[in-house]
Amino acid sequence: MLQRGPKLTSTREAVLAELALMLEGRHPDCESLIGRFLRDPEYQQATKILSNAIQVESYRRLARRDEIPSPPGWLLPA
Amino acid sequence: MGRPSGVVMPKLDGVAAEYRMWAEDKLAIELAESLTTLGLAEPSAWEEAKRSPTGYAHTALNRWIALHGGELVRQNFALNVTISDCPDPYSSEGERRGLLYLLVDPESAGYMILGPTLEMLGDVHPRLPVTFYSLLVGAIQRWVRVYDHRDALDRLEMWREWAEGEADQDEYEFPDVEGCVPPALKLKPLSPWQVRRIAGGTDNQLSRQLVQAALDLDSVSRRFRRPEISEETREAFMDSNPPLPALLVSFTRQDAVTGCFDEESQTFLEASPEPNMLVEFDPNNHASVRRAFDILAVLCETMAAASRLAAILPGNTNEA
Repeated sequence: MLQRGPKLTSTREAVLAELALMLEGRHPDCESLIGRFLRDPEYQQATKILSNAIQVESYRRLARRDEIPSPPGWLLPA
Repeated sequence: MGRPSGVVMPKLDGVAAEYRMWAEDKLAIELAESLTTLGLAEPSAWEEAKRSPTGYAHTALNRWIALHGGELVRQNFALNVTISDCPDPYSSEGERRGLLYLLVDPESAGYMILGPTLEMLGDVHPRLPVTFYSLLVGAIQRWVRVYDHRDALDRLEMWREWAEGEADQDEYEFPDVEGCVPPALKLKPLSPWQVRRIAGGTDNQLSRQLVQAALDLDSVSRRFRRPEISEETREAFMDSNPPLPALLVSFTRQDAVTGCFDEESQTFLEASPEPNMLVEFDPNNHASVRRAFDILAVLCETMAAASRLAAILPGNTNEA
């Protein structure tokens, strides 16, 4: 017996269900990066490694560069 | 060589390469939901819109315009319909939390030449030209701005006032707007029943057809009242220019009205213009969405009826 392929056209109920998920921020397509970050420990660890690496690199650059005056109203980094 | 940290980098295989942020699109999602529930959007368009609420609402809006004579409207008018979260597309002022705005504005003005038609109707009855003019222009003006001899006269008065203070005021030459207005337009329009009686009694088939089309146009345009802009939203247009004309009505090609329009059009965009039509609505409220779309339907049908009429106006397209 031949089986029908998956239905390509969305039904009204299916569209409404997807929109409801979007509105709640739970739709797979619209899952926010922050949401994924909060749930995924590997993601958090990788982010920390990258953040540390960038910080170290920026300290090195600061040490190398000539001192230039900050724009008026700016505070120097602690 | 440094010691290994013991930290393992996560594998990225199978991780989605694209993320969509909908944080700013809450209103679009609510609108898509309302349009689906109300049957104004076709669920089959969801896939075509790549599951984007904005694209889906856009498709629904285009479909709605097409259902209400969009193709006919385009024959004589270049109108843009926009749904925005800001009432003034030229600035971000006036935005109100939770509301959307349906805006209609012309890209350029349509053009109708009424001189030959008014002359022909004047042969049927002396007051038929002014009646026809009032029905046609009045119906369109209910929804969008029409530039006609009255605007040209206002402009002329302003130019004369400016010239009064000048030492060489005699050297100014003003367009003869009064002279290009048919005298029949100064008469009193007929009542609807009088128009029907006179049109029904004439042998001139085109005159009968034109009057009937004008009566139909008038009736379509009255199906809904153009909504007033709320005081809060109006504040966004405090320093705006008047709306851009969606139609220019003259009596002959290149007459004084057209001349004034050409001159005045140089300043139309000196400040951002008010929209021709603005409907505020709450995308989360089905009745409010329905009302906004119903209003748009009447505007489209009015403009479509005006296009139908324009197609039979004698001398509207090929007058030299």
